Amino acid sequence: MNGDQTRRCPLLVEENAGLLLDYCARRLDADTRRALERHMAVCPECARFRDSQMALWRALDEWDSSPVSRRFDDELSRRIARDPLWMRAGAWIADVSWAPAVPALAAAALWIFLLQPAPNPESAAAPDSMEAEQVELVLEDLDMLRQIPL
Amino acid sequence: MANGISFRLAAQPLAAGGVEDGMAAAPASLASPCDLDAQLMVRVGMGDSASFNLLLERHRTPVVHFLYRMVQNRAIAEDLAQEVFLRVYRSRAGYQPSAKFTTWLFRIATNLAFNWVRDEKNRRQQRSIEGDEAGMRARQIGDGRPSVERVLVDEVKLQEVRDAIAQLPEKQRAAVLMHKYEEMEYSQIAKVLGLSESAVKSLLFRAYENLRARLAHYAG
Repeated sequence: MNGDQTRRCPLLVEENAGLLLDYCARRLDADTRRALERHMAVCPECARFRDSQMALWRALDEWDSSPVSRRFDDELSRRIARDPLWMRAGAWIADVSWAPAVPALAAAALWIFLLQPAPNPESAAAPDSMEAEQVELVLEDLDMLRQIPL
Repeated sequence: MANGISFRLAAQPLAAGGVEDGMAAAPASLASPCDLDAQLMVRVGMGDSASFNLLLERHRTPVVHFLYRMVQNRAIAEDLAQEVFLRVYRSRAGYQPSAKFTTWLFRIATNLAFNWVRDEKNRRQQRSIEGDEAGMRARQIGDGRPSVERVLVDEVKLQEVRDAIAQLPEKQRAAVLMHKYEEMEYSQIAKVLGLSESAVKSLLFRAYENLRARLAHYAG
């Protein structure tokens, strides 16, 4: 925050409004903090905002969080062990660029679909659909990673 | 353990030297040297389960706490956090360190939390239609077992804080939790939420405005 910004009240200048939040969160560098403190000494609106935000900050501090349960890791380990596709395949599916193979895969899927006998309602296909869902989720997660701007 | 993966809770300190030594063998071209987590994740992709243990060790608590504050139920938060780490593990082979690991981690966590919050809203509406008032209170009551926070702080004040945060729109809530409790930079919150940095600043400004109004009696 330079001298010019100091003279302009943060509450009146949209791009500077965050300065007051940063001040209360102790995220300002020393120079900016001092400049803002000089401003707040003569600006009752900003001083009120600061007091109110600091009080909120203290109230939020009350909400501590208790420790993670000791069963957490064991349960995660069990869930990973129950994930047979991924333990077998090592998630290699996600590592492959499938785009060139999509037409061939689609044709194969159609061919299998047309050739297969009528489904027997008693033989549920839950594991297959679960595995497909897992593949889809992994691809979505990796897609999320790619979407994060650098 | 059958799958060769075993985890331990945070009682033991990290073997920092060992990790750094191990990192020297990681392919330098793939991971940013600054992001130890990304390097660990690359190693997980190469089949190193010890690196997954370290990632878990480093991020288990922040992820669980973030999710706990989002959904306000300990058991559900831990269940969702396990889902986060399971999904990270499933993605290991396809992982490319193209962004900060924690940004990706919290993006997965945030999406899972948003989905849960939306589903819960629908479930509550359904229960409301069915007149199941007891079910509606279940989330606010929490797990039913006493926790450290409940014995240490003023119960009423804590409940008010929790309620005020729970009433925030989900993006405002996630932004406040990442800003206040996880101490994330605006730029990282922006990437997690898929917003611009200035949009995050506005979102936070409005969120804190809402909270100040709801908790006004604590001011002054």
